[in-house]
Amino acid sequence: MKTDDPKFTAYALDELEPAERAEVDALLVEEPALSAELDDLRAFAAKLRTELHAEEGAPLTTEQRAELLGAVPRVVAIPRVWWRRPWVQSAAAACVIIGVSAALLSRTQVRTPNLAQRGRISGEIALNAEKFFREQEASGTAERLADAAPVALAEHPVDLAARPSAPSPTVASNSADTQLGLASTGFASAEAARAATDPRRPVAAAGAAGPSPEVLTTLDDQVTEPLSSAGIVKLDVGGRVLGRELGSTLGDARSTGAVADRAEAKPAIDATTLTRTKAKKPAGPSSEFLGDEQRGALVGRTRTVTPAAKAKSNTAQALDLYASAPRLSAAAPASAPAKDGSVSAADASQLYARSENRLRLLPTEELGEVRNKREVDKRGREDRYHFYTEHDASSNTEVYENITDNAFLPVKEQPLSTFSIDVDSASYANVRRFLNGNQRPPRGAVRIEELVNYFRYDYPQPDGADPFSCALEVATCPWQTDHRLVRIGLKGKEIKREARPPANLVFLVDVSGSMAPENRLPLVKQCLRMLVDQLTAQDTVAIAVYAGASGCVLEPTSDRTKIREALDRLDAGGSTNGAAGIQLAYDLAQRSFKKGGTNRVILCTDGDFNVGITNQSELVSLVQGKAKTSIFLSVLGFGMGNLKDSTLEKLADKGNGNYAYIDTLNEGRRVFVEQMSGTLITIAKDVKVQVEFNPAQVGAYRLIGYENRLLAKEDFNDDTKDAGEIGAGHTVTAFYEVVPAGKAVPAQPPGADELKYQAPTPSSRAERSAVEGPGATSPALAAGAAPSRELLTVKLRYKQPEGDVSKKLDFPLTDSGTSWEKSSGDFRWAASVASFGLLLRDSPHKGSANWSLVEELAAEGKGDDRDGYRTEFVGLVEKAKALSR
Amino acid sequence: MAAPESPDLFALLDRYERPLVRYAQSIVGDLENARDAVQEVFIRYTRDASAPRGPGTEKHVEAWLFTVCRHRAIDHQRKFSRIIPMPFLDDRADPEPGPAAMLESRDTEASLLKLLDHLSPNQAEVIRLKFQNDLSYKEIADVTQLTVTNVGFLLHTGLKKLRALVLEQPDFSDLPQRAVAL
Repeated sequence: MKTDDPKFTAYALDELEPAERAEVDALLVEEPALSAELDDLRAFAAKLRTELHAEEGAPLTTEQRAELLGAVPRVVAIPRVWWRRPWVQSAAAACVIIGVSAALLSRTQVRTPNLAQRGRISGEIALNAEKFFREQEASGTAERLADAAPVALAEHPVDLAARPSAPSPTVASNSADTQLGLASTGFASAEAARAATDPRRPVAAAGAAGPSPEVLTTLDDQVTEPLSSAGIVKLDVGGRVLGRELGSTLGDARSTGAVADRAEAKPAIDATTLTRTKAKKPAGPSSEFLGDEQRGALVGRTRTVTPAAKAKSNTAQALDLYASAPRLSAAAPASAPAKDGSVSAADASQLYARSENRLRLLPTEELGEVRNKREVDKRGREDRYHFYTEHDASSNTEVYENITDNAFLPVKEQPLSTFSIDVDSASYANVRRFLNGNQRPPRGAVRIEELVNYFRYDYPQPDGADPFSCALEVATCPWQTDHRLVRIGLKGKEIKREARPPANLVFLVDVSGSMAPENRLPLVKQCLRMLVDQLTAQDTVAIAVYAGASGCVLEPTSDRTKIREALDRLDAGGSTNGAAGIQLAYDLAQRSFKKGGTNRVILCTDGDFNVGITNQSELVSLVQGKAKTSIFLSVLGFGMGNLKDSTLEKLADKGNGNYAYIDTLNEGRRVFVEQMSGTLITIAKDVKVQVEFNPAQVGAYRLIGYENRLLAKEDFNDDTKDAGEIGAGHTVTAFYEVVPAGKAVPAQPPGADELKYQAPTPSSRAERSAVEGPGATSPALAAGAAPSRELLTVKLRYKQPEGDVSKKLDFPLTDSGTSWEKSSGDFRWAASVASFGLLLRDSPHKGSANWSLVEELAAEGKGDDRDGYRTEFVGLVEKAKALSR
Repeated sequence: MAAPESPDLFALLDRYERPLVRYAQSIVGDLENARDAVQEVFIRYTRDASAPRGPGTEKHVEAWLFTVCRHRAIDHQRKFSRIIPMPFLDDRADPEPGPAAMLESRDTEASLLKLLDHLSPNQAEVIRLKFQNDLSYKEIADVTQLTVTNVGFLLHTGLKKLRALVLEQPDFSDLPQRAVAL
C-alpha cells in the first residue's frame, strides 16, 4: 500500500469498504510512516472541510423564494361532506350571481383590446362584488357567508364549477376574459375575486368536453391582434391563461391544480383546431418552421398523412408558443403592475410547463428556460428553435412524443407511397443506452427504421452500372397473420478498402467546456484516432476546433504522426463560436479539395452545436450550399440526450451527410472502422422510394417507420427535393405491412367526411391533395390499368454523388404466398427488430406481437452474426422484456 | 394535474438553498445564473412526481437536488457561454476591483478556496461535494455520473495537488509541511 493509492485517501476519509479497511489497518501497524501520513491527510481534510464550509452560499432572491412558494399548492384538508353545509351553498349562489353580473358587464365591453382597460372593468366587478357582500352583511345573515365564501371557493373551485348552476359556456368564456384583469388589479376585496373564480371553470369544462364552436369563436373574436393563424389563436389563449395564472400567484390561496386543469383544457381545443387549420393553410406563419418535405407532406396529403401532419403541426405549435413568449411577457407586466418583469417571465414559464406537458411536446425544464427569453429575443426564429430543443439526458421522458405511427392507407385512395431513405442508426444506439441503463426508452425515441437499419443484411451486390441493388421479399406478417409483410432491401455497392478514392477530411471538433466528460471529447479523440489508423498516404486530414474562438489546429496533411499528435493535444474548455468553426472547416476542405475523392467535414459535438451570433437557418443554408460543391458533412453526436439530434439530423440531412450517435468506443469502431467506407463514401444521393400498390391485390398498406421521412408523391420526380444518401456497402431496409384486397382494413384514422358533390372516385382525393404546382407530374393511377398479379412496384430514384439529374429504377413484386416461417433469415431478423420497435413504441399496429415473437424471430434469423451485434440485440430484447413486466 | 404536495418545501429551501447556490455558482461562475438554476431545481422538485420525498428519504432528496442542480447549472453555463456580451462603452466603471476590494482579496488570496481554482474542474467539483457538502463517495458518484472508483481517484489526485499547492504558499505555516510526492 502506497500513499499514492486512491484507497489510502478513501481510508483517510472513512469511505473504504470494511474488508479493505481491515487490510489498510494491518498495514498501518507495520508502517509507522504511513500512519503519520494518514494523520496529515486527515488534518488537511479537516482544515479543508472547515474552510469550505465557511464559504457562504448566497440565498435565492426574495422574489425567487416568493415565486417558488407561491407555485406550490398549499395542502388543505377537504372535508368529505362539505356540500351539505349550508354556507357553502349560499356561497355557491353568491358566486353564480357575481359570475353572471360579471358576464353581463363584460358583454358590453369585452372587445376592448386593451388589457389595462380590461383590468379596470374587472375592478368594477370586484367593487360590485364587494358591494354585494356588504349588502349581505347589512341584511344581517351574511357575515358568516362573506367569510365562508372565499374559503369554500378556494378549496373547491373544481367542485363548484361542476355544479349545474354554472353559466353556459359562451357566457363563461366572456366572463373568463374579464378575470384576466380582475385577478390582477390589486382588488380591494379578496372575497370578490375568489368568488369570481367560479365562472372561469366552465371554460375549462367546455374545452375538455370537446371543442365547442361557440367557445372557439368567442376566443377567436377576442384575439387582441386579429391574426388568422391558428397558432396565434393559441398564443392568445395562452396569453389569457397566463394572465389568470398571474392572478393566482399574486397571493391567493386558491389551489393551482385548478389553473393547471384549465391550462390543460386549452391545448385540447387548440390541438384540434390547429391541426385542421394547419392542413388548410400550410403557408401560415408557423410553417416557416417546417422543412420542405414536411410542408410537402402537409400540403400534399391533407387526409392521409393526418397523424404525421398532426405531429408536425404540434411541433410547429409549440414553436409558435415560444415565439410568443416575448409578447406574452410584454403583456404580463401590464396585467400585474405590482410585479416586475422577471417574475412574470417565470410565471410564463411555469404556465408553459403546465400546458405543454399536456401536449407532451417538451420537457418541463426546458420550458423553464423560457425565462431566458430576454436573450433569445435577440436571435432569429430558427435559432430559437435550436435553443429550445436542447435538454439534458436526465429529462428524456416527455420529449419524443411527436412520432405518430403511419396509419393503414387504402390503396383505392392512396395508391402511391413515397419516402426518402434513411441510413441513420442513431435511434438504435440511443435505445440501447436506455435499455442498458434499465430504462424503457421513451416511445418517440424509437424510430423503427433506424433500429432495423442498424443491422447489416446480406442483400445481393448490385451488378451493372447502378450503385445499389433492390431485394424484395414478401411473407406472412408475423404479428398479424392475415397481412403480408413486404420488405424492400437496398444494398449500396461495396467499395474495397484499397479501391477507396482518396479522402480529404476535415475534423471539426467541439472543444467547449461541455465536451469535457469521458464520453465526449476523450471518446471523440479515440474515435478519430481509429479513423486515422484506417487512412493511407493518399488521404489528407485537417483539424479545426471551435470553442472561445474557432481555430485551425492542423493544416491539411497526410502525415499520420502529425495528425495523431494534433488529436492528442485537443482539450476541452472555453466558450464557443461554432459558426466561424464550420466556415473554417469548409475553407480547409476547399483548400485541399480532391476531385473525384471523398471531401467531407466531420463534425463531432455533444449536440450543443453553437451557432454563435449567426442564426441556424444561415448555418443550414451554408451547409446546403457546400453540399452542392461536393463537400459533404458527417455529424457525430456524442454523449447527449436524444432531442438535440433533431438539429444535428437536420444539418446532416441538408449537408448530404450521415449522422451517427456514438455512445461507446464500440459504436465508434462500428462507424469508423467497420463501416468506414459507408461513412465516408457516398455512392448515391437523394435516394427516394415510391411504391405503387396494385388495388387488385392490395386493400391497404402501412409503411413501418420512416414517419419523418415521408414525401409527397410528386416529390418523387422532383429533382430539387432533397432526400437521403446511401454510402458504400450500406443497406437500407423498409417494411410495408400489406392488407390483401378483400380483407378488413384495421382501424383507420378518422378522415374527412365523404364528399357531398363528388362521387368518391379512387383518384378524387389524391388529386385534391396534390400540390397545385405546374411542375408536378400526375403519375398514372392504377384505376385504369389492366388487372395484374403483381402486388406492387417499387420505384427508386437516385442521383450520382456529384450529379444533379436523377435516374429511375423499377422493381415489380409478385406475391408467391410464402409464410414467414419460410422466409429468409434476414427477413426474419429484420421483422424481429421491427416488432421489437413496435413493442417499444407500444404501437397501435403491433397486432399480436409480443416479446416471445421477437425472440423467436431473432433466434431464427440471427444467422452466424459475424460482428456480434445481433447477439447484443438479443440481450436488449431480454432487458426490454424484463422492464415491461 | 395537481402538483405533488410539498409541505416541506420551506424546510428544504432553508436547508439547501445556500449550499445549492454555492455549488451552482462554482459551476456557472456568476450568482445570477446560479440562483436561476437553483430556482429551477426547486420548481422541478415540486413538479416531479418521481422526486424522492417523505420521511426517511433525506439523503435521497439531497442527492436528487444536487444532481438536478448540477444539470441545470451545466445547461445554464452552456447557454450563457454562447451569448456574446455587448461591448461596454467608456462610461462604464472600471471593472477592476477598487482599492478596498483589492486589499480584502489579498487576505483571501492564499485560501484553500482560491487554490481550488488551480485544480481541474472535476477535481474541484468532487472536492466541493465531499468537503463542502459532505456527500459520500457513492452520492458524489450519483450526482456527477461518475463511478465510485473514479470519484475516489479524482478526490485522491485533487487532494494531493491541493496539498502540494498549499506547500507552495507561504501563508500556510500552520499546516503540516511534509513533502508530498506528486
